[in-house]
Amino acid sequence: MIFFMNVIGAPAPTRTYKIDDDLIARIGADDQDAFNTLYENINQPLYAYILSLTQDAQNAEDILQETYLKIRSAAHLYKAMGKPMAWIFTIARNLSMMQHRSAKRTVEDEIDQLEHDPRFSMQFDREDHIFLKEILSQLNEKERSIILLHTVSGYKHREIARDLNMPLSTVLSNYSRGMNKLRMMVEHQKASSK
Amino acid sequence: MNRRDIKQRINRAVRQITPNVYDHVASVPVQKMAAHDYITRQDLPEERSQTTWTLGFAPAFASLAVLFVAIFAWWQFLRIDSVVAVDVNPSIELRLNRISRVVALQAYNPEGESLAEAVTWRFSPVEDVVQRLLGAMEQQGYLQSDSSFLLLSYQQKNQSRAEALNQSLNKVVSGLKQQNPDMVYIQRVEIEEIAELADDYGLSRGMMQLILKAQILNPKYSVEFLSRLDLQTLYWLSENAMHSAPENTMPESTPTPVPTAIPTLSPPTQVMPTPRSWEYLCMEEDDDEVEWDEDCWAWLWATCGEGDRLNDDCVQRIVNQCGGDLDDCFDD
Repeated sequence: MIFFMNVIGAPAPTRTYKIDDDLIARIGADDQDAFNTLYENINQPLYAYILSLTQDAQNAEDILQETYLKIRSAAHLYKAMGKPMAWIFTIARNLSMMQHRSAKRTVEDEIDQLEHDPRFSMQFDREDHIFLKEILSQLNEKERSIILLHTVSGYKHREIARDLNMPLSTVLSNYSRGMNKLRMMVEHQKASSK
Repeated sequence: MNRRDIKQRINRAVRQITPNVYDHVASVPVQKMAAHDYITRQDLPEERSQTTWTLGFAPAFASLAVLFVAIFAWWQFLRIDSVVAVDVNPSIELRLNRISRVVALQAYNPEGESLAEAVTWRFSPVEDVVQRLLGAMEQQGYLQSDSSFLLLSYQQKNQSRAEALNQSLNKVVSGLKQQNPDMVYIQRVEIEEIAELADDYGLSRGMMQLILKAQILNPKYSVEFLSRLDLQTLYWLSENAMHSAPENTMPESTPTPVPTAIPTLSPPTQVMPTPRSWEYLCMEEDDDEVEWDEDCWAWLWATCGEGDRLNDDCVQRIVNQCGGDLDDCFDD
């Protein structure tokens, strides 16, 4: 039963993003289908990445929207370098840094609002979000980005290294260190609850 | 909770809060940018620095790698690491690389040149080349196991490699040594500056070292004079000092008449292939010119001649009695 619930509640990370330089060029030429394809393929990893940067669901959503708008307005200027996701992550990162100065809202505040937000497709699980809040506070930025992209979007470590311009060894070590932190955090929580 | 559970939980939590913003971002009209701003620029500082670094240093690294390979190849295969000289009458010097392959050959006389053309030597192991040279010398009559003196010399700074080279050369001439051990001499060239000196005199390093040794023991002979002697005599002089004999020992017997069978020798211009030639005893240097003393030579034959050869023991005795200067005995 638990296994069944897990399967229903946590779909396997999707690895369907298939974007290339040509897709960005088509978006630059106002091809709506191309933008639709891009959105379907990158929305999940892009949000996960932005969330890892902002640690704030609302800010992450704002930045997510702005990132798409920036893509649409600058896609025609994009120079094919074979790493379109690296460019998109860079836009998101720059927007995140720009918004960093604005007042932060805590994840806990967000959770209260999100519970009643009709935009979210899946049923809201308060425990999951408390867990998410813990994760965001326990890990540093690199660990957050790498773990979220890997676990939520199914990015392989070498793809993360490529798109975030990091050495693979950095990605692997940060991932491993972050996961260890989370495991210890969970064990500590279990011990406390007993 | 294991790693898999943690990952599933993160995945579920993030998916639950991922907003669907498509309608908004797809429908809002946007103004096309004229140029990238700092948000959309592709050359992020991190990226630029890495790219520039890579592009800037890639050719340098490539050049360094090529240079390194070239230096290594030169060091391993082309740099002269040791030298082996083969002297009989033909005089040849072999230059070896680090792995004892012959990378260069120098002949010091016409006989050596003709031999060099007769054998293949380029990048061959030194043992093979020496073997081929000795074979060719034998074929062309330069090397006779019972009468030709063979001098093999090697120069190598490293002690262990020098020993290895010595062993290799000994192995090559083991047959010759068995037949006539006195006619084969292998020496290590130990004087570093000898190459330049040998070049000046147009001699192999082995010959040059032997000459210097002979001159140390016999300072009255010049390099030019010693270089004209046959190898066996030169070797003898390099081991024996002509002045070491006591001076009061004059030959008591009256020289016998000159035998009719005296060989008519002109001053030797080439090394004689005799077992031991004593011509040098009757040579005199005068202002860098070497003069041949016919009377001295006749007297020597009269005293020590045995058929068509000189009795070595007799000549040696005379040399010892005369204190190395045959003129004094002869004039008396």
